[in-house]
Amino acid sequence: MPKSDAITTAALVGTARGVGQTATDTSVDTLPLPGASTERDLLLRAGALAVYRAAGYVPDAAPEMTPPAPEEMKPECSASVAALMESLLGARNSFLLGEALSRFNQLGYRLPHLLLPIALTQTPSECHPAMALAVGERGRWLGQFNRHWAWVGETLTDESDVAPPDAETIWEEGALGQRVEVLSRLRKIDRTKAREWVSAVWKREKVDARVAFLETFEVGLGAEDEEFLDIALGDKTERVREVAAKLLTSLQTSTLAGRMRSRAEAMLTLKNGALDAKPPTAVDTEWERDGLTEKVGQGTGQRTAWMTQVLERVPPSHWEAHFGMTPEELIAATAGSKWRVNIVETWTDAAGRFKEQAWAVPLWRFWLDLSPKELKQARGDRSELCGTLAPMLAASDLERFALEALSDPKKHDDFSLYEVLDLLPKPWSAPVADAWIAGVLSFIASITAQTKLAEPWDDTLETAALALPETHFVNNVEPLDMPDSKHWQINNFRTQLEEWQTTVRLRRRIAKELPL
Amino acid sequence: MSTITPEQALALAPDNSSAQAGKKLAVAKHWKNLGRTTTALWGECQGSALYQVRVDLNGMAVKCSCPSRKLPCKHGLGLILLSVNQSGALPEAEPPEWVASWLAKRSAPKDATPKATAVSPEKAAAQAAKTAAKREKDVSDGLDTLDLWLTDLVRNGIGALEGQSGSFWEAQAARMTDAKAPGVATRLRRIAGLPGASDDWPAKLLGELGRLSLLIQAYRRLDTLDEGLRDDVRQLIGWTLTQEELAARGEHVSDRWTVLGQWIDDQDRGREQRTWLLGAQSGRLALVLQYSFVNQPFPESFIPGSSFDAELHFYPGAYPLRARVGERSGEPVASHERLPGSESVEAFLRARAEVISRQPWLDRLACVLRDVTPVCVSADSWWARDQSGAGLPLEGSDHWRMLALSGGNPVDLIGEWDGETLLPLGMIAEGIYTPLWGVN
Repeated sequence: MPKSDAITTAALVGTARGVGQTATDTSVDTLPLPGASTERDLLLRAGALAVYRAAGYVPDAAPEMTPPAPEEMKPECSASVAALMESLLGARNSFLLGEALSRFNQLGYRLPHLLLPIALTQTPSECHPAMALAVGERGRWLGQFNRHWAWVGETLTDESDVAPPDAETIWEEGALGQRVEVLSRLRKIDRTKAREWVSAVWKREKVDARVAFLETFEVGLGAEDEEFLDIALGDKTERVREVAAKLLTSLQTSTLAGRMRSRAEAMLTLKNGALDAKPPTAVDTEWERDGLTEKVGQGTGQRTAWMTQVLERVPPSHWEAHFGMTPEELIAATAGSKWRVNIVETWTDAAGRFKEQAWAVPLWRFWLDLSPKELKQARGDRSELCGTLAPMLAASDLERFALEALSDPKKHDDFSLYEVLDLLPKPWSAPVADAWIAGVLSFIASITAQTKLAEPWDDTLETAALALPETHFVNNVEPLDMPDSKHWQINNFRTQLEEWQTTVRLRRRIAKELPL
Repeated sequence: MSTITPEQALALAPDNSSAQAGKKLAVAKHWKNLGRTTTALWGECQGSALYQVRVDLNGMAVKCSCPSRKLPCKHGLGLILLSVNQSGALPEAEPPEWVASWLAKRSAPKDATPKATAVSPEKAAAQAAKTAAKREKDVSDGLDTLDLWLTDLVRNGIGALEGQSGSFWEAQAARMTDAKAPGVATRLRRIAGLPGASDDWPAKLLGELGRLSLLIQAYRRLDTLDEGLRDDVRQLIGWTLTQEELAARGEHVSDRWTVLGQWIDDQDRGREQRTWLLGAQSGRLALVLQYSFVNQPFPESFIPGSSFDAELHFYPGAYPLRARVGERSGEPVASHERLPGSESVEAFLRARAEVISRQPWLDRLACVLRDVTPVCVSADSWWARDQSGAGLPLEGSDHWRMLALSGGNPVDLIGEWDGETLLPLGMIAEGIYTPLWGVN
């Protein structure tokens, strides 16, 4: 039972049990009572005591407040920009928010204080670094009070790539996110020092930190990193070993990469201009230490998996030197092999892993021309495989493929127009934007009451809304021109067009409110 | 009946599911013995039993023999909707006994409201006096039973109340409503939430039961009280003043009133809005209460932070606080001057003690605390700290806007203190008023 005074105790147990003590030891006890019943007297006295206490309430000493927020360095944005940012936060479209934030930060604004709780709560994580700048001093100060807002303090807020003057302090005392950022920046200018920093703390850091620090080695990875990576390859935690193996694999001068090449060379054979594969029948224990851990059971499946893991860890350019052939010739040489699709798929993954641009176009062509039946042998589907290659394609190549797809929009069921368009960097170039607008307009003009399907244009609207360049924020795609339809997909297309217009309007507003 | 639309009929529904169910029942095939007069509708609806449904079109009162506690129930809604959509389904008829007797009972106490039928002023006055006397008797009897009930609670020990279900308190509250003491009923419903709710609940509960006893005692000795306190006691029990009575008896204060802040509480079947006003010349604090049912908008709108010129009619009392806006002159204007207020927590509490000494049942009091710093100890522990270091704990946990605007610097904070926590209503930082919450 909670601690209580005499009168409360008396009421708790009840007057029937005979606890008659109801004095309050205050001046309330001097008030006259009717005296007709013990219970009523107790109640009246308790009521008077409650009033007495309410009137005599003494405030507590309040806890101290942390030091106030520093003065703002940047000007507050205008009310109309604030309204725009608020609606973008509410719309939860991270692309549009990112687009607006990038302009917002370039213009050097900060959000009004009133908007900060919404901004800190609703910003999707992709936009955290940009938002950490936009919230100003007050926003970063607020981050300390709410654990869901801690990200704002873990982001470095200077926009440069160079290590800040207090880099060493941040490295020693900062939050993990800040330490990783400082480390990445230091790797760009002084890899030796960055490696020494990590090496010095390596044994006492937790797994998450070890993984995150190791991942920064990707920046400017070089032969002198191998010794340390070999230590990490012997780490007791698998996640750390995986990262180490991945880095050593991509470091072509490493002994691990050498081992990988020897294994691969034993698997691919060239006879009379024809390439073929010979998957291994057994592996030794060193495989696992080198990160080749994938297990898929017994027999052919496992043999193929062993081969695949090795081949995708060898840069495709190695085969150019090894066999003295160009990428196009090598791909063509696989034509007679029953392993053809497997081999080219490992080259595709390896081209992605080692960022080999020379291979991107021939591989893309290969996958685009492959029949759906042959494609079934691959693990990935057409759009995944092309997606792996897209980042290596030169913008002009990618644009050429996109224009080809726009001119024959229904060519591939399994690699739809929108998937090609999705691979393009945003914003689109003028020729792509022109071709898309012409295509969608001519489709709309072709719709009659009999038209049932809106493919493939319906799926492109969402991408187009975000990717059209500022110069192509057209007004002239009016769903109003469409005839009434009883077909579900056409009616849905009308709705999608309206959403498209809403997004384009919003982007036009972003460009107008935040002019660069 | 032709003036009501289906939408208006559906607006009577206590919730969405009742509205949907009512719509389904608005078909003649579900009904037997339908009928109507110019003032009533009735019919029998075949549900899991045969339910007798009757509607008094004066005030759209519904009575149904079904066990549902919703008011109106789906059968009542169905009958009203049927009469709107398909008036031919309900033939003009003589009401059967089960309808006629209910209607008679309903119209009986209504005699006090002047009807067009010729009743002489003397007779009307006599009738009014009779009704008033009956209410005094009902209230007095009701409070006597409440007194016995309270006595029993204390005799058996209030420790046992922690395990009591809501219906234990609700039954007593309903008895007070029947005894025409709705203010006491509301108080009991509030007390029902205390047992077990905090570590020191026995002391809080005993204090509230004690204050209720003080109210009963005060009512019994009404004649000995000052006029102001007498008005307070009657209003606390549940007597209301009509607009005319208020205009005639209440104090009229003309001033420029600043809307300090606003808060909306969900109540049994509607919402209560509390708006605090402060007079620029008079320095008077005023509380305007508005109620809304079925999500109707509140009759009068107040913009927190703005000011307007008006004459307020204060409800009579020992410390008149509650008021009604009599007549406004001109549009609301933005106010830019710093609000007068308490320079310290201590000063505000001293002023509040003064109010309590005049009206001991005071529940809440608004304040303007100048130069207080909002303090966030953790996400659910907040304080307002004055320059001397004294502070009041804040109600609730979502005070991020306040923290963002203050940035750890002192601001002028407007809040409502209930004796335990301060509910922030608005704040002024850098000369700009920002409503904090409870505003829609």
